Amino acid sequence: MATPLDPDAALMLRVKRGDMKAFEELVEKYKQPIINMGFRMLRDSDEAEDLAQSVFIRVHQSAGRYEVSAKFSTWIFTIARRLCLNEIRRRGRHPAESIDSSQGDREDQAPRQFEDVKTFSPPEAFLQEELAQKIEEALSRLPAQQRLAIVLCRQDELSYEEIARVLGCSVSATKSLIHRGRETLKAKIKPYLRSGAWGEDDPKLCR
Amino acid sequence: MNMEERQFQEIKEAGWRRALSSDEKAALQRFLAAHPEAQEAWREEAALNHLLERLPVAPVSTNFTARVLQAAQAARPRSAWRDWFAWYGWLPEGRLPRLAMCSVMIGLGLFSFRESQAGHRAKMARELAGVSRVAALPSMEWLKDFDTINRISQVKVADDDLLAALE
Repeated sequence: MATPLDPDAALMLRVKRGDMKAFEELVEKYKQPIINMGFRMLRDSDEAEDLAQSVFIRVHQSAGRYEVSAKFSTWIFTIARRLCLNEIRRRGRHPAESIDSSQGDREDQAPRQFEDVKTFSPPEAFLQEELAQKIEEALSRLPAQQRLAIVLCRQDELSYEEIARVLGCSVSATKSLIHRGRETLKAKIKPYLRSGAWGEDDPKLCR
Repeated sequence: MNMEERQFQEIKEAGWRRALSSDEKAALQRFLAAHPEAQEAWREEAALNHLLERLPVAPVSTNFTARVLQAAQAARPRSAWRDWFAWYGWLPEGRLPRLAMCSVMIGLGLFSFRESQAGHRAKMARELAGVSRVAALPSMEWLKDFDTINRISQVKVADDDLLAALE
């Protein structure tokens, strides 16, 4: 029995035929997860957007050679992972330079526009922000591959097998990366976990 | 790892990615009731899952998609024939510098070809000169008394009688 075509792969086949509307749909669907991944890896929202833009341009440029061999999400996250690691390596070599300096066409582009969004209501804002900051800090100190594994793990689109394919390792190695990363995170935020400050009364926590 | 522990591990791994199903929750409750020592570990697991789930999403500019589409249009995919000439990519940007670079490369190629041809010709000339020297040697008739002449040259004592007769 023939396996049904991944809807994103179907969109990509339309992009291959030059359909910009299909490309726009893919950008709309994947921009947030790719930018989230870039943001967690690079800790800079501008650079995360630049990285996501590079990812989508690569996708568009590769459309002509695209063949449906794996899920589209696995493919796009693999591209994003490579670009993230390249950027981290580049930062290691040239710590003062930003990803912006490698994009000469920035002047030709429209400036970024952001919505004014408040994430937390005032009474719980302080504690939640502090916790979020703690966990972000702890995440940022993890080795890149562990951090990536934990970030990808929260992507609904990806199974463990697909995360393993993105990371280029086995499923057991992937789970081991996640486990080790989580143990480090737990050790770093243990006082908060024990205090219940993370909101254990939340009904959604009965999981 | 026994079956119960394996099941607990699988539930933990499921919790890393998503909310647990009702079956998984029931299995977890049974496991925690049988292993109260695991309750603290599960509390930490659940707390970390909760915190990771509630991490704020990264801000995305409202015109992000428009900018990507614009950039994608600007960087149109390369046509098939250009893929054939992918090696061309390492040449400098711009038509004139590329032309200059290609001219230099072609010039260097011609120069090295001419040099190798000249070297080849010089080698042939040297070989021909060697052959002509062999052709200029005395004829075989001149060499028939070679042994006698050679022996004379090896006489160490002067022949006084012969010298006197010659005087």
